[in-house]
Amino acid sequence: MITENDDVLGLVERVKNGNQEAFMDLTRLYQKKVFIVAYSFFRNRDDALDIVQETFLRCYQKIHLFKAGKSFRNWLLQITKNLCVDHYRKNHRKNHVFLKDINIEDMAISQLEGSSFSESAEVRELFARSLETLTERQRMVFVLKHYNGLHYKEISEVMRVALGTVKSLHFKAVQNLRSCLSPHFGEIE
Amino acid sequence: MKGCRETKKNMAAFLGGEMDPQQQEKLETHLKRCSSCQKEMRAMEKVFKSAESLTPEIEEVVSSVNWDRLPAKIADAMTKEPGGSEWHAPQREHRGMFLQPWFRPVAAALLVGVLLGAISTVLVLRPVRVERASSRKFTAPEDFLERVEIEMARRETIKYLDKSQFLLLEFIQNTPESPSPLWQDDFSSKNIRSLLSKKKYIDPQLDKFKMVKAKAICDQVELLFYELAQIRDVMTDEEIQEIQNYIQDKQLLLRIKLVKRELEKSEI
Repeated sequence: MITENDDVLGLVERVKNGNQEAFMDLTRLYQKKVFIVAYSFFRNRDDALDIVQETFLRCYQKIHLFKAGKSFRNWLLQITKNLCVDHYRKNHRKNHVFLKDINIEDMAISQLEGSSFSESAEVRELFARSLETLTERQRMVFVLKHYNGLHYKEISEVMRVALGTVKSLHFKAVQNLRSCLSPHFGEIE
Repeated sequence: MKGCRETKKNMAAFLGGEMDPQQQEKLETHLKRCSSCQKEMRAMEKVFKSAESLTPEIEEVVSSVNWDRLPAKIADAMTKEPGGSEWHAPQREHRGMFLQPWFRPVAAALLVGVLLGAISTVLVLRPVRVERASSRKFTAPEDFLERVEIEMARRETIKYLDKSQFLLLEFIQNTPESPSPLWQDDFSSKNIRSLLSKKKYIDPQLDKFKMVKAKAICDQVELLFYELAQIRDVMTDEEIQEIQNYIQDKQLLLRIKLVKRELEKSEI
C-alpha cells in the first residue's frame, strides 16, 4: 500500500514508462484530494466524479510535462482546477447565482446559538448558496483553503497566480460571503 | 483609528493562520484597542464558522464513493478511449523544431527582422510624390470641430478672467500708504494693453457660442481697463479710491470667480 510519504517521484517515473499498476497507485494516493476540490467547488457528486476521472486521464496524457522538483500534488490539482473551471464555464455559468438573486427572507434561520449554528442544515444551505455567488477564482481559492487545507503558497502554485493575489482573492471571498450572510448573523446575535 | 484598514485587510489571513508571528502580534495589539475591528473580526469568524457547516456533507459524500474500485475503473475507461484498446505508455507529444519553446524567441526575432526589412524597402523604393500641403484636405466631423472651438473659447475666457482677477486684486490692495509695486512700473500697463487686445480676440467667440454671463463680466472688466489705461499715469489717490469702490460695489472679483468656476465645470 502506497502512502503519501512514499516516493511519489518514483511512481511518476514508472507511470511515464507506461506502468499501469503505478498509475493506479498514484490514483489511489490522490483521488480523494481531487474529489474534494471538485465536490467543494460544484457541490455535485457526479460532476466531481467526472472531474476525478478526467483529471487522472489528463495526468496520464501529460505526465511527461511534469518536472521533478515541483510538487506533484500541486501539479495534479492544477489540472483539477483547470478542468473545474472549464466544466463550470460550459455547464454552470448560465445558472450562476448572483447575490441579489438570493432571497434571504425565504431562507429564514431559526434562532440558533453557539456551536449549533454551524451544524444547522439551513445554515449549510445558505452558506452553499452564498458560495455560489463568488467568482470562479474567489470560490476556488476559498475551497482550496477551507476544504482542502492548502496554504496560500500552495494555492498560488495550483492557481498559478501571485501570493498577493491569493491573499486578496481570499479576503474578497470572505467579504462577499459576509455580505450574503450578515442578515443572519444579525438575527443570531 | 490608525491601522484599521491594514487590520481588516489581514483578517482573513489571520483567521486562516497565514500570518507570520510579527504581523500577527501587530494585528492582535490593534484588535485589543479597536472596537470597530473587534466587531469586524467577530463577523469574519462567523463566516469561517459557517464555512465549516459544509464539512460534514463533504465527508459524507466522500465516504459514499467506492475508492477501492475507482482506480481500476479509471484505468479501464482509459483503455476505452479512442485508440486505447490496450494499456500503453503515455505518448510524449512530439513537437517539431518550430514548436520547441527555445525556438519561439528566435522565430519572433526573425519575424521582426523580416517586417522591418519589408517596411524599409517599401519606404526607400516607393515613388516620391511631392504633394502641396494646401492640396491635402483635412476633414473632421462638424460637431467635433464645433466642440473644439467651444473648448478653446472656454479656455481663452478662463485665462482672460484669471489675469484680470489678478490685476484687479493688485489694484484693490494698492493704498497710498503701501502702494503696490506692481502699479509702480510699466508691467501693469503692458498687462492691461495685452488684456484689451485679448478681449478683442475672444469677443466673437463669446458671441458665437452665446456665453452670456462670461460676455457680461468680460465687457465690464474691459470697460474698467479702458478707463485705467487712459488715466493711470495721472491718477490721484481719490481716483484710485473711487475705482477701488467701483470694483467692490460691483463685486467684480466675486463675479469673476463665479463665472470662472462655472466655465471650469463645463469642461468638454
